[in-house]
Parts: sequence; structure tokens; C-alpha cells
Amino acid sequence: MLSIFKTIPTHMDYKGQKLAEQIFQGIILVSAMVGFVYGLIIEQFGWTVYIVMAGFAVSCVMTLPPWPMYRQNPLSWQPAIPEVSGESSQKPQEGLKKKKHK
Amino acid sequence: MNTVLSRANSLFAFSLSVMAALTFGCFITTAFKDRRVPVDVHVAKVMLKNIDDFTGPRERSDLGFITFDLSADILWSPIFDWNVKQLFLYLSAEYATKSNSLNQVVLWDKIVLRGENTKLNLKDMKSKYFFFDDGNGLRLEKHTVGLIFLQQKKSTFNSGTLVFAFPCSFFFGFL
Repeated sequence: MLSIFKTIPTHMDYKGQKLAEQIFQGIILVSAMVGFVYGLIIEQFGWTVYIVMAGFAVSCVMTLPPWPMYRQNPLSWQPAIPEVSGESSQKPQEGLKKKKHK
Repeated sequence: MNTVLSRANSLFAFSLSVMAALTFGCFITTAFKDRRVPVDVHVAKVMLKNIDDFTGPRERSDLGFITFDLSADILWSPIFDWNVKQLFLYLSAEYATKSNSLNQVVLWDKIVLRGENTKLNLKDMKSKYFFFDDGNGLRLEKHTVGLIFLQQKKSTFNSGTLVFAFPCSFFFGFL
């Protein structure tokens, strides 16, 4: 069961995060302007609020889940360097820890 | 922005900021409007009695009775807009006595919600509240000058309260 959950990607890359922020800001600003004009015309501020809330909902759906469009630019990590000797890297740490305890 | 929660947080905060800006815009578009409305007020009957005032100092005080005609068309005027939800109208009498330079007594009031019939056409209305003086000022000032005006207060759910008055100069005397 847990392996199924681990296969679901939950991250956004850096460009995807920037894109998500731009998208929700754009949607909310546009809905705010539309709602303001509409509310001004029909003289009901409640409709302005409703339209902004609709924009909020739409941008929630658009940007909260990490859709694949936000994962188009993955970071190119260096390939993992195979460890030459596991003992040499672990031993000094243990030694440090022991010293600190003393 | 890397987790769902941080995105939700920034989205919510941004929406709230935008909503606050919109509310301010709503206030700005309506704050400088001229909302004065012509009102006709006439007083038909004027009576004065001197009776025991049990609510106050237990002495004889002046109690005035008036009936008035009032007509105003609020719907015609630009009072109601998207920043006004209800109107509180009241008719108050102002007069000066020897003990107080300014006395204000509310005689009648009415609350008008948006969408209601706002054509006021009152004929021979009795005052809703007692016109009690706190002494004998109504009689002592023989030609008391009363200035009655209809004030409208607007209360909104988003931008506070504004008060304005339009004096409808009107005089009556107690003899």
C-alpha cells in the first residue's frame, strides 16, 4: 500500500512553483477585476465577493495539486557517486559523536 | 511554495489581500457621493402639557405633542448603492432652553432596508417617542425655535458608518 502512495509525485520543481504562483495571482486578480466591475454595475458588493471566491476555488484546483505541468523542468542532479568505502565515511562521524557525548 | 500547504497558505493570503483592496475600492467609489435628499416636513398640531415626569426628576415637566407630515423619496435619490445596506432615519427636534443651549429629542424613526419601498409619505403622524423636556423649557421659551431634520445613517458590512444631515429648516412655536 505504501509503495503505491510513494509513486504519486507530490513535488513541484522550481519553475513549476513560479508558474503556479503566477497562475493563481493572475486568476485571482482577473476575477477581482471582473467582480469589481460587475458589482459596481449591478450595485451588489456580494457578487464581487462571490466572483472572487469563485476565482479562489478555480486557482485552488489549478495550483494546489502538483499537476504534471508543474514538473516539466526537473533539476538535473549529479549522478550519485558510488561510495568507495562505507567504513571510512561512517567511522569519523561515530568518533565525533562519541567525543561529544564525553 | 513547494508543498500543498504552503501553496494554500500563500493563495489564501493573496486572496484576502485582494479582497481587502476590493473592499477599499468599494468604499472609495461611494465615499464622496452627495447623498442629500430633499425632504418636506410640516407640523400640523402642536400641543403642550405640563405633567409629572416619572421617568426623571419626579417633577412636572413639559411634554410636547406634535403631529407631522413628512414626504421624501429615498429610492429616487442615489442613497442606496452597493455600499449601503440599510438606512436609519430619524426625526429629531432641536431647541434651546435656558439651562441647555442645545436639546435634541428624537420624535420618530424608521429603518429602511435596501429593496424596500422607500417612498415616505406620512400624513398626520404622531410622534413615536415622547417629546419630554427635562424641565419646563418648552414653555419658558415662548418662541422656541425647533429645527427638525431627517438624518440618515448608513451602516455597511464593510466600511464603517457615515453620518450626514440635511437641515430642512422648519420652525414652530409653543405658545
